[in-house]
This record gives sequence, C-alpha cells and structure tokens, in this order.
Amino acid sequence: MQTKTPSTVGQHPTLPIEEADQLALEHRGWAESIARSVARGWNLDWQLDGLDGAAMEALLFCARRFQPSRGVPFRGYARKRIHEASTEAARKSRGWRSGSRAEVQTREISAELLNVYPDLRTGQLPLSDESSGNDEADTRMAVRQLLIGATLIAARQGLATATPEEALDYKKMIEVVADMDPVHQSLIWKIYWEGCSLRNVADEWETDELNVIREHKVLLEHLLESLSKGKRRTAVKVRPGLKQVAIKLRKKSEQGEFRRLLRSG
Amino acid sequence: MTKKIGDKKKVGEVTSTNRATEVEGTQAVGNVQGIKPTSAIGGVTKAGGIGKRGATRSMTMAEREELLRLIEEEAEDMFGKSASNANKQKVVNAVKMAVDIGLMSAQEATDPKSKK
Repeated sequence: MQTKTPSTVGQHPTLPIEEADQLALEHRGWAESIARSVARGWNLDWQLDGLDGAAMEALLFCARRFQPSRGVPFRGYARKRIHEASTEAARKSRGWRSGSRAEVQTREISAELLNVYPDLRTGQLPLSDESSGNDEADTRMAVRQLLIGATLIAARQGLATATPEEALDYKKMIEVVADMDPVHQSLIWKIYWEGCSLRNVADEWETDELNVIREHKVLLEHLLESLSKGKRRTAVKVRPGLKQVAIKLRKKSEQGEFRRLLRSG
Repeated sequence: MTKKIGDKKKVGEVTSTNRATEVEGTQAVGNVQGIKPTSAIGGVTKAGGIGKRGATRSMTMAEREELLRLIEEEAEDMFGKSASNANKQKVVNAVKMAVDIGLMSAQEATDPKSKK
C-alpha cells in the first residue's frame, strides 16, 4: 500500500504522494514533448509505439522520488530518465523494425550512441572539459567525436552482415585500432563492443575517471586523423595514469582485442 | 660634508602612550534599501553555442537545421572519399538522429497537441 506521508532518504525527504502526483500532472505536457521528440527523430508514432505511456510512467516515478531539498530542479533531475524510458519503449516497439535494412541499422547505431554519450539525452553535445574558447571549434570537435563513435558502432554491428564495400571500410577502421597499444584497444573494445561507460572502465581499472575520459578523446582524435588522411600515424602514447593498467594488460595478452579480431578473420 | 654615525642622536625612552578613551557607541543601522530590480536578460545564445553543455532553452528550428548541416559538413571533411557512400550515409544519419532526439524544439516544448 502506498503511504501518504513523505519518505526520507538520508536527510532529504520526498514529496507527499498528493504533491508528487500534482508535480507529475504539471509536467505532463513537458514529458510528452520528450516522447514526441524521440518519436520524431526515429520516425515513429509517439502514441502508437507506446512512447507516451513510457514517458508518463517515468515522470510519475521521478515525481515520487524527487527530493526538493537537494536543490536540483525537477526537470533537470527527470529529463534524462524520461528520455531513457522513451527510447527503451521505442526500441521495443513494432515500428522500430520497420523500414529498410539501412534505416533499421541507422536507428540501432543512434540508440547506442545515446548510451555512449548520455549528455545527448539532454540536448548537449559531448564537449571536452578543456574548452578551446571557440564555440564553433568546440562544437565541430564534438560532432567529429560523435561521427567516429558512430563509425565504430557501425563496424561492430555490421561485421556479420556487411556488404563487401562496407566490410572494406570496417576492416580499415579495425586495422587502425589494432595498431594501438593493447590498453587503448581494450578501452575502445569495452566502450564500443561491450557497451561499458567510461566510468565503468575507470572503476574496473581502478583509476581516475578523467584519465579514461581524456585518453578516450585522444584515441578518437587519432582515429579521426588516420581515417580522414588515409595514412597510418604513429600509435598514441599511453598517459602516465594508465601505465600500470597497460603493463598488466601486456602481461596478460600481447596483442589486444582488435588484433585478435583481425587474425580470426 | 658627511655626518659621522656617532653624530646620530640615541633614541631616548619611550614616552607613555595615551590611554584609549572609551569606544564610541555605534550608530544605529540606517534603513535597508529596497531590492533593486535586476536588469533585463541579455540576448539569447548565438547559434554556435547551442547544443553545448549548459544550454538551457529549446532550440529554434533554424538552429537545429544549422547543427544538422554542421554534421554533414564535418562528415564530408572526415570521410571524404575514403568511405563507401552507403556506410557514410548510415553514420551521418545515425549521428543526426542521436543529436536530434535529444533536442526539443521550441514548438515541441510549448505545443502539447502536436503529434509525432
């Protein structure tokens, strides 16, 4: 049975149930607009494909767990969750598999991009913490990062079913990654092949998250340069914060995941 | 003519300092001034700043189109002729979709009756 009194998590109480429901009611139109924007981007119907229900459920869930005393605005707290619920509903919908093979693959790649770059869910580009001071240059850099990320995801998803032309592109990409240090191969593998977040990788390697975030960015820039100029560049040096992990990995496996993938054909 | 060091007069004893007199009573705090109205909000962010961290308002359709155009432009620079057309198009469309579904246009944010 639901309680009518607010519950407390630590020092921060949630709203009484009536107030939480009222909060959800006030934000209903806003939550629906998130579901609609997801449906528009993927060419689905926000109602027929069930995105409206998922968004409302997430909104209610967030309203009942919302702790005003934390000082975070409700929309800031709830937006990502409502977006996640809408995209999950979209992926399970009948409309998700409709369209040509290329359309379906494109949707799949974009859905995975949202997991690798969760800031996209709130309308933000994955910008570096070290801004160049030039808005347009930063935006372009973020877009390039997304393009390389999407290319890696496309390679992983398409390896089994690629046309000969596509397979050639993917092989080129994998060859560049296979030339990297095993720790770099492992980083790319964990994020794009296993779907880990940068934070998960940092936890697993017992290192500061910033080490992983910055190394990831350097690797994408390296891939970008190698692919756009079409020539091999010298491998990226491992940053000091990841040296210990690199030594451990080299002891365990000399070649790295992508080298093994290439050898296995 | 130079003066000899010895010519300097020695410091004599320190004369007694005057005692501090009583602390004067503080004056009562004057009237608190009423809160002044803040100045009007400055201009909106320029298109180049949209989509970045900290963006807090909905995009206009023109800004959204500009961002999507930028994706095309960067993809052309990046892939050139190195990638197959089908693959390039798939990647570009996927990035556009991922960026687009995170954005709420001003119309979507304000018009709850618009469908799809």
